[in-house]
Parts: sequence; C-alpha cells; structure tokens
Amino acid sequence: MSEIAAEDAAAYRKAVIGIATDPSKKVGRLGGGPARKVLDYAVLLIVAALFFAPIAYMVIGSFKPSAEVLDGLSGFVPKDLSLDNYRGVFARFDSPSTGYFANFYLTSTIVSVVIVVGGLIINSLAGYALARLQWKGRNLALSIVVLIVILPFEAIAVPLFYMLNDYRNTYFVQFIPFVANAFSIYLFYTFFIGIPRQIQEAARIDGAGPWKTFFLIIAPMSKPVFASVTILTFLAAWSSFLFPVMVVDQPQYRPLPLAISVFKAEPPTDWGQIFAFGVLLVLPVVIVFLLFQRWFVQSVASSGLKG
Amino acid sequence: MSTITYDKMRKVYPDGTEAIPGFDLEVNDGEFMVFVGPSGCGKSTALRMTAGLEEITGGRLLIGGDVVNGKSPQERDIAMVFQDYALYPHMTVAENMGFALRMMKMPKEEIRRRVETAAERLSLTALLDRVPKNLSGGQRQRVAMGRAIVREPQVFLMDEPLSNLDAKLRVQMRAEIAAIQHQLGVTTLYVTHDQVEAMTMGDRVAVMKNGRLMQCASPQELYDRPANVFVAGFIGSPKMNLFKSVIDRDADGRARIRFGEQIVEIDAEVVAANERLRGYPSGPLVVGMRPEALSVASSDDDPHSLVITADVVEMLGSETLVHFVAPVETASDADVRDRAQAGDEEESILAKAGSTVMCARLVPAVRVPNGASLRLHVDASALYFFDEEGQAIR
Amino acid sequence: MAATLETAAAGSVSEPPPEKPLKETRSALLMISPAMLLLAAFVVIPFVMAFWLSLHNVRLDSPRPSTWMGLEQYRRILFDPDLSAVFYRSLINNFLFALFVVPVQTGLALALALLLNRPLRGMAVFRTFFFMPVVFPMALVAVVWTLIYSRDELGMLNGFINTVSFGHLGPYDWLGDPKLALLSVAIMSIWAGVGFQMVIILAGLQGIPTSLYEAASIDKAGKWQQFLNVTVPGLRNTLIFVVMITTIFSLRLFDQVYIMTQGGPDNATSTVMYQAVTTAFISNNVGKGAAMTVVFVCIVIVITLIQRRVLRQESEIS
Repeated sequence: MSEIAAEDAAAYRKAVIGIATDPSKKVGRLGGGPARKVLDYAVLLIVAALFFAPIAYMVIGSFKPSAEVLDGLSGFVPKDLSLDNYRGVFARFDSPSTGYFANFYLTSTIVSVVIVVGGLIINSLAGYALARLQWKGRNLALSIVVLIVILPFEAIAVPLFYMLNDYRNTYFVQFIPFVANAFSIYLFYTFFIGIPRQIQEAARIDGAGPWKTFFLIIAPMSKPVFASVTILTFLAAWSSFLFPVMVVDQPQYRPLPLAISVFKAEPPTDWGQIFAFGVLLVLPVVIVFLLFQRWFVQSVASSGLKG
Repeated sequence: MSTITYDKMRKVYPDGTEAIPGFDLEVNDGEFMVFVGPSGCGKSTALRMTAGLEEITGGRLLIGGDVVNGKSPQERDIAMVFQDYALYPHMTVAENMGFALRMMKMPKEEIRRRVETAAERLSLTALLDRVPKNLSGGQRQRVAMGRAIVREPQVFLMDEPLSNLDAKLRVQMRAEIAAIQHQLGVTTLYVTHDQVEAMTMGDRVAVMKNGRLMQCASPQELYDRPANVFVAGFIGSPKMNLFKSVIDRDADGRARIRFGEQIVEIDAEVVAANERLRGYPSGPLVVGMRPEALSVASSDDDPHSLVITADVVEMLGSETLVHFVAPVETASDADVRDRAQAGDEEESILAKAGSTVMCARLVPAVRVPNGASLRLHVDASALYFFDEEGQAIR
Repeated sequence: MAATLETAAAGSVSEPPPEKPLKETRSALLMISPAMLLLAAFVVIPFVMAFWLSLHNVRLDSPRPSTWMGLEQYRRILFDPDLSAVFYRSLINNFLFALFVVPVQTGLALALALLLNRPLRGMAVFRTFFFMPVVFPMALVAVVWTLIYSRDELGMLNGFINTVSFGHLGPYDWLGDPKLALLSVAIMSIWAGVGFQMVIILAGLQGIPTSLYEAASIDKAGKWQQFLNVTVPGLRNTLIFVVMITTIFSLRLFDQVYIMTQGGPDNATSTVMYQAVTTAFISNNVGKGAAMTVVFVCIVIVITLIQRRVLRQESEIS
C-alpha cells in the first residue's frame, strides 16, 4: 500500500475510533464537549483539504504559466496568474484538423440535451405505463427493464459499435443509444408506484384518461423524480467517454471528454492549457451541482436506498 | 330518476376468490343508503363496482335505469369522495374542484359559477386559492366533498370519508354531510365500518357480511327487528348479549328459557305476540338481550330475573355498565367479534370455554362493587329469539 | 304471455359487455413503445449480437464477408498459449483492482460518513467537498491525475512526498512502474468514487433512529459497542448495496486505463474492457472483442449471483 493511502487510512481510523473510545467523553453518540468539536473540525478540515487538493491543483494550474504547473508542490502556489492558458486553448483549436473548441462544447451540449430531454419524456411515460396502467405483458416488460438495469453497458459496447459503424462521427450516434435508459425508467417506476392509487382513481372518476392523467396530474406531482433523473442523466451524458472513443475519430463531432484526452495525448503537452480545458469542461456540471446540491445528493442517496 | 339497482351482482377476483356471490338491492332516488359491516365484508368492493373502479364479474348494475356494467366512471355520471380525499396536491382548492368540469369541457364561466356555489355551501370560499398541504384535515374533507358536488351527478359515492378525522370533527361532519345530502337530494351511497355513523346518517342501512347482504332497512327497524344474529350483534352499542339457550314450552302458553342453571320466565302474552314463537317447539334456540333490557330487580322473587356476579363495572355518569361473566355459550356471530370495540377484548381475556362476557346497562344511581352479586330484571318482552340458523323468530 | 315475459326477463340477465381495459392497454402500449423500441434496438439486439459476433471473424470495412469461426475466438483468448496471456493478465488485474478498491473505498466512505454524521455546523459544506469529485467526468480526472502522478520530482505527488519526508522518500514512477501502476489507478479511482458511496452510507446512517442509540447508552454501552451493535447492523443493507455496486463498477474499469496508461506498462493495468475495446476498435478484430465482452458479462453475472447469495444469507441469519 502506498504511504499516503496507509497514512490516511490510519489517520481516519484513529480519528473515528479514537474519539469513539475516549472514556472521558459523555456516553451517548451525540455527546461530547467543545474539545471534541475542535478535534472533529480539525480532522474534517485536513481530510477535506487533502481531498480537494487535486481539484485545487487543476484550477490554480489553469491560471498559471505551464512551466510552473509541473513544479512539485509549488504548483499550488497562486502566483503569475493570468488567462493566457484559456486564450491558448481557443487559439490552439483553430482549424478543422484540430477541431474548434466551440465545436467540442457544442457537441457535448447537443448530445447531452437530447439525451436528457428525450429521456425525460420517453422514460417517464414508460415508467408510468409500468407503474399504473393495467395491460397484458406488463410484468414481462417490467422484468426486461430490471434485467437491463443490471446489464453493464460494456456488454453491448462492442456490438453497438459494430451496428452503428455507418453512423460514426455524427451527433446521432452519440445520443441515440442512450435516450432510452432502463435505470431512468426504473426510477420513474418506483416513484410513480408511490403515488397513492386514490389520486389516479379520482382522476379517472373526474373523466381523465391515461394521457391526461399523466400530463395534468401525475407529472406535476413528480417534480422530485424528474429533477433526480435530469441530474443523473446529465452527469452521465456529459461524462460519456467509452462510446465516443469508439465511434468518433474526427474532431468536428468530438465531445469534450474525448477532446481532452486527445489533447493530452498529442505532444507537446501544455499542462496549463490542458488544465484550462479541464476547467471549462467541468464548469457546467459543477455549476449545476452547486445550484442543485440538495437534489443531487438526495437523488444519489435515494437511488442507493431503493437498490 | 337516479335509482341504483343491483341485480344479482357478482364479483370474483382473478385468483378465484368470490368476494361477492350475489347482491340484490334497490336504492331509491334521493335516498341516503349506508353500506356497513366489518372489514372485509365487501362494502367497499360493492361501492367501487358501482363507481366503475372494479370490474363486475356477473349480474347487472343499473344507474338511473341504464345498465352501466361496461361504462367508464365518467360515463356513469357519478362522483366519489375517497377515504384519503385524494386531492391533487399541485392544484389549488378551486382547481381541484373544477378539474372534472374541465374534463367535461364545460365553459370557464360555468365552471367558475359551480365552484363558487359549492364553495359557499361548504364554507370554503376563503380557501379557494390554497393548496391541499396548507389545509387542515377537516378542510380537505370538505374540498373532497366540493369536488363531488360541483359535478351535479346522479349519484354520490362516499368511501369512509370521515375515518381520518378526530372524533369531535367526525360528529360535526356527520351532521353536515347529512344536511347537504338532504338539501341537494342526490342519491348517495355511503360506506362505513362504524355502525353509529350508519345509524345516524342513513335513510336505510345495508348490513353486509362476507359479500352478502344480511339486512337492509331503516336504522330503527334494524335495531328493533334484526333479521338475524349477525345484524342483531352488529347494531347497537354496547352490543346485544347473545347466547345459546333452550326453550321449554308450557301447555298454558308460557315459556321458559334457560340461562345456565337459572331460568327466565316468559309470559304467555309475549309468546302469543310472536307469530313464529307460538309454534316453535321446545328445544334449542338463540336468545338476545340488549343491555338496555336489563335493570336491577326489585325483589328476589322476580320470575323474570337473573343473578349475576359483576366483573367489571364502568360508571359513566350517564349510565352504569356492568360487565359480567355468564355461564352460557355465546352465540354472537364470529364476524361481529371483529368489530374494533374494546368490549370484544374482554371476551377473549375473561371468557372461558362455555361462558360469555355480557353487559348490562343500568341507571347511574346503581352502585355495584366489583365481584358483588346482583339480581337483574329481564324485560322479557324485549327479548330477541333466533333459530339455530341464526334467523329471527318473529 | 307471462311465460314469455319471464323467459325474457331471465334471458335479459346477460353477461356484462366486455370491459374497458382494452382502452388502457392501447394507451399503455403507446406510452411505453418509444422506450421499448429504443431499448430493443440498442440494448437487446446488441446483447444478442455479441454472441453472434463472437462466433465469427468480423472485420469492419472489409470487402470480404465475415467467416464462421465457431468457438475459435474463445479458444484463442482463453486457451491459446500466446494470445491468452494478455487476456488472463487483464482478468487478474480486474480482480486485483476490485479486491483492493471495494474494501478500501467502502471503508473510507464509511469513515467519512461517520465523520460527517455529526450535528455540527458546516457539515453540508464538507459534504460538498467530498462529493465534488464524483461530478467530474472520469476522463478529466484521469488527465489531471496523470500530471499528479508525474514521475519526476516535479510531479505533484512526488513533490508532496518529498516535502513531507524531508527528501528521504524519492520520486516514484507511479504510472510507469509495473508494480505501482495498478495501485495508482486504484487510488485515483477511489478518490473519484468515494463521495458517491459516502452519500449513500450517510443516508443509511441517518435512517438509524436515535432512540436505538439512546437505549444502548442507557444499557451502558460505550461508543465502540454502540458502533458495533447499533450502527453496523443498521447499516447492513446499505453496506451490502454499496459493496455490490462498487464491485460491478470496478469490474468495468476502462476510462482511466485508456487515458493514463493505455494498459501498460507491460499490461500491468490492462483490463478486460480495455482489451475488448482496443481489440475491436484499434486492431479491427470485432469478433475477438465481442468474445471478450461475452466472457466478461458471464463473469459479472457469476460474481453478482455469488455476492447476492453470500450477502443475503448473512442478512437472513441476522
């Protein structure tokens, strides 16, 4: 085990268990005096700082001249800050052969938006049909959906690549296999099942058919699951790498994650610019995350609890 | 005319369970009909079949003279109030009440008019712009009613709408619902498990057990002339004391019934007044004594009296309830014991095989210490008799 | 007359007309068909196709049609002395990786969750910090860590160790040393993923009623005993879930390897998926790549089933 990891692991265990077995502290999980609080904060701060280090490294490095980025720990020191790297990124990707940076962004955006919006519509409808309507074959469809949820994408990556070979280097090939998503369907399904049957019956008695019930009653009531699915789907779509690696080799239709890996692999490696690229890449997701933090964390946690 | 006719209506579930073997009933136009019975008796199922939320497996259902078996709920022109109110949480009170009318593509003006009228009637006018989560339980219940009223349907269906309210609110809402129904004159089907609600609200009450209709009559009739042991034990609180007994007939028209080792005499006039009892041979039967039919005996020679040992005495101020263990076998219908009433638990705790816990309702002045011996006078003219199949002998 | 009326009346007790669920079936099918069609086209069919492909010699953009090879592809990757070495090495790497990552990442997530499960102010801020790496695309994480792992003294990690050890611990070739490479990838993956697990465990922790802790402390249980007897049992299902999904995720290892090490050095970080994808895509041997993914899926299924058996049994016994 590397020293760092071992050190950290030991520190964590000591922090947790050491505090836990101190007999001078009050019995009771929530007890503990001010000394303990300081200790807690200290430990948390150290761990958080270590954790955040790589991110800080990237962000700070993106504003520094490239030579100073690869400079041991002083890569952290914020001096000589400028926007040169950012300008450099745009300047470097300035031709059809290198691709235009704006195009990378455009590709990621278009593909993600189609996957998210298309997915919200068709997956929620599917989840509703499974959850609340009576029809022959419903159980079979549900079993199929659950099986697909368990199936890892890698199992179909190669055949999918083979199937869609003629559509390489398009937006289409990057979103079409992902709009329908069994996991999203499952999330919608479990949420809709939780809506009291009586509401649906009341709608039926009021004269609303299945479509009207869905759009006028069920969907407006389901903001939490729509938010969760949006966030999870957007995160996955924006980060998509494996499949684009296989089906995109021209810069014009290259999404951001693929573009940055190409950038890194092509000499000369300008780390400052690469970091700037990275910051631009991750900005939308981080902004969305910070804005919708509670939804984010809640949707991750609840998708876990439902598992 | 919005009558409801159940013609041999049947319900069989896909797995084969026969929930309702055959249901025949006529509900009159404008009548307040209550379906009551212990849980699992089929009352909610019958209501939901009337609404169109459950399939009808056999027989016919007619609303307003039309067969509606295959029709969707909207086509049946009914409105329903659910136990949990089922209000649309993202809509305001006004939107909740107007939703069905929107579905019917009614012009906005008309919707507004109807909603406002109903809101007035239910004192909801100030709340029209609120959403359900900002309403109290009682307010939500009224919105649920309002949603039904604006439809101006042929039939109101209500599925235990008061069970989620606290006792005091329940009493108040009972009166309000009954009043509204009277004003509007709409045929109403009301389902409840609470026999007090049934007795106070219904024009007629249909008592159900295991999917079967045990008796349908006005509340007073159910109380005075129960058709069988089940209805006798279900209606009335505290419930009727029912026990197995043997009747001995005298040549001069009198009769005696056995109460364990004791005997209660029945005068000849009483026997003569009961048509079927006149010809009933000596032998086993079931006797019912309402707690109200018992009082403190004035003398030890009273031929219509019993000696009992008081077990638990409850002094309520308005009356005194004396619970005693009687050395007789109970005849109360097993399903009646499922009623969620405290008295039933006493049976299981205190009753031993061959004995029954019974209850006498006495005037408040009576002071009886626990364990004391007491002679009770039985009003023999107020006794109920049932044959071995549980059918009333009258 | 009366007879006819009676028979007419008897005859009119007809069977009810057919039920309305037909209408609902139509709507349901319409609602679900877009998703189902897409899933069929892009999940089910490829899944089936994987088997077909693995039995043929398929090359893209080749004028010749695919030739049948039967189980030859499988023989090659599993049994051929020359060709199978890489595959087995990849498989071993996958297992080693999972064996390291699953317990360490789960343990770390548990520790962090316990740290955060205090009613102190600012917990939400810390939670944000720990969760942030999860939001980063793995490709980006790999790129950044490539520099952190840079082998000369100027690499961030080497610089840090150098400083902390006052120059005693020398620069390490994190990604170039076959003994260290897989471990480096593992540590980076743990960093990227622990926030996800932590949040799930935190939710599980907060689902344990405080009354249980209070009852335990009244029963004179110390903190460590409370941890063992209240926290751990209460977390059982959450931990089981976390372990299972971490295992599956760690078997899918691809992005980091592709970017940071390209499977090297000497296949020290090669994984099954990496081999499958590069075989199909770079070497243009689609059949072989498909065979690898088929083997991979079988292994994943077996592991999942075993895990379910073992872990469920434990929870049933308790």
